[in-house]
Amino acid sequence: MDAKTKRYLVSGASLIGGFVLVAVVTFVIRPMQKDSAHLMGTLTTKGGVVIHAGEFELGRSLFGWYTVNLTGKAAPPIQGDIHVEFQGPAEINHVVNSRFPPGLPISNRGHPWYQFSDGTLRGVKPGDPVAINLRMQAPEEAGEYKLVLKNAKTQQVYLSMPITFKEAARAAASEEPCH
Amino acid sequence: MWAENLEETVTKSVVSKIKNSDRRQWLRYGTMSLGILALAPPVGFFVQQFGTTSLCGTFCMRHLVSSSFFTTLAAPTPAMTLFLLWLGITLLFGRWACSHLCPIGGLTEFGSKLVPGRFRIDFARRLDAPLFRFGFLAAYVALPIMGAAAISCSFCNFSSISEGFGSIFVERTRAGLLTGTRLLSLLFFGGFLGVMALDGRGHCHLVCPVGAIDSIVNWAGSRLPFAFRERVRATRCTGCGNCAPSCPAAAITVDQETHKSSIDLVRCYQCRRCEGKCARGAIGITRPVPALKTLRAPQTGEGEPSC
Repeated sequence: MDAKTKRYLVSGASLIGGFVLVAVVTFVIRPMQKDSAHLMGTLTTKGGVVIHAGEFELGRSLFGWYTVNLTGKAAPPIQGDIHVEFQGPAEINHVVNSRFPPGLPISNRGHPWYQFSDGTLRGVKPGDPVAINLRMQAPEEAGEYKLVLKNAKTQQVYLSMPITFKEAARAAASEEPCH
Repeated sequence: MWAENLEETVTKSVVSKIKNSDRRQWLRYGTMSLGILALAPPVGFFVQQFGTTSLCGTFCMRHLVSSSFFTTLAAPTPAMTLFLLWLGITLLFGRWACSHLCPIGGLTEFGSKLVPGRFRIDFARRLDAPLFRFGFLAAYVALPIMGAAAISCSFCNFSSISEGFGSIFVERTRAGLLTGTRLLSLLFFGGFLGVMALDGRGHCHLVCPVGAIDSIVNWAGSRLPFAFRERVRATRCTGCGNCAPSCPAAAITVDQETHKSSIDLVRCYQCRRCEGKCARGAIGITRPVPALKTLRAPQTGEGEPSC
């Protein structure tokens, strides 16, 4: 085989290899994707707007727990302390975290970042972004759970985000969660 | 006494290393550090101005490459502005943004310095890297259209590498990182194609969709008369080949007939390592020299031609 032919073969294999890598990786990781979801919503004084809810199949978690990332904005006039609560028909071990504030907050963005402690966003200003990460153990039975964001003082609900766990057979017929 | 001698030896060694090192690389490391501080957690002082902490969401440039380009064009986001600015810089000055500013490439390049040389893999020379990257880009664009949007978010080097770095400093971001696919993404892009790569940029050479588009703009824009690019001045080049092994992207070849080096601008990401290797100063960032000057060059010694 001469050098030119070899070069063409390597080039062709590389081009196809790149495509195949994505295709293979995509189909290999698809089952794993069923243990995490990106939820979207807006916090409002009228109970919030759910843009994208969460839906999982039971028994499809990779490491025995599920993860959701909820992103959204606190629509004006919402401000103050917002408590994050995970509610459902059964007790599930879970951990709530917030992506904000950043590790090293820069405060020249109009106003300082809010703080996060004890499951509460403290000092939220109107229009602030919210990014909540929730890790939960796989529940034993199907059911509808909720990630609720509410006023820490008045308990007024700003957003109630449904997270549904379905039996595998039922979930197969519906859409898969968005990532 | 021995401690003083040791101190003197170490000081001399460090001073001599700094004196002999290529100042272009120090400048590049400086701008790469600024890029990391500006765009990656835990600081991200630039992205924080837009109410976020990372390159996800508002600043997701890979999302633009996949499915939402035209939607975003109608209502420009910071990501779209940054993406167009990135390509604009490339069009005028070459792939400066990829080599000097990209926080993802910067993080893995710095990380690769911690890995002993014998464990690093030279991906750029083992494959036809640009074509592999174009194949990856084609699938990256095609698969979400076909309904498999898996790699857009869950398997993203921009997100996993920057978040992985941020989580070293911020405990609560680790929880978000440890989803099944995100962890695999970090190990694959940040580990295997990142710090284990020869120059820490295996993912840039092989799988970065932004880099793939950037390299096309780099190559296409090189024909513009006002565009600066990494070029070889043919009159100075002796074809010694010292520059070729120093190129981490395997972009330099020496023509055996003309005895001149040339740079493949689809591969080159403008790290400028080759410039320091050329004793005759034949490689540099220049504009193309007009044909008339090229003809006159041997007589005047000025305005040398380039290839």
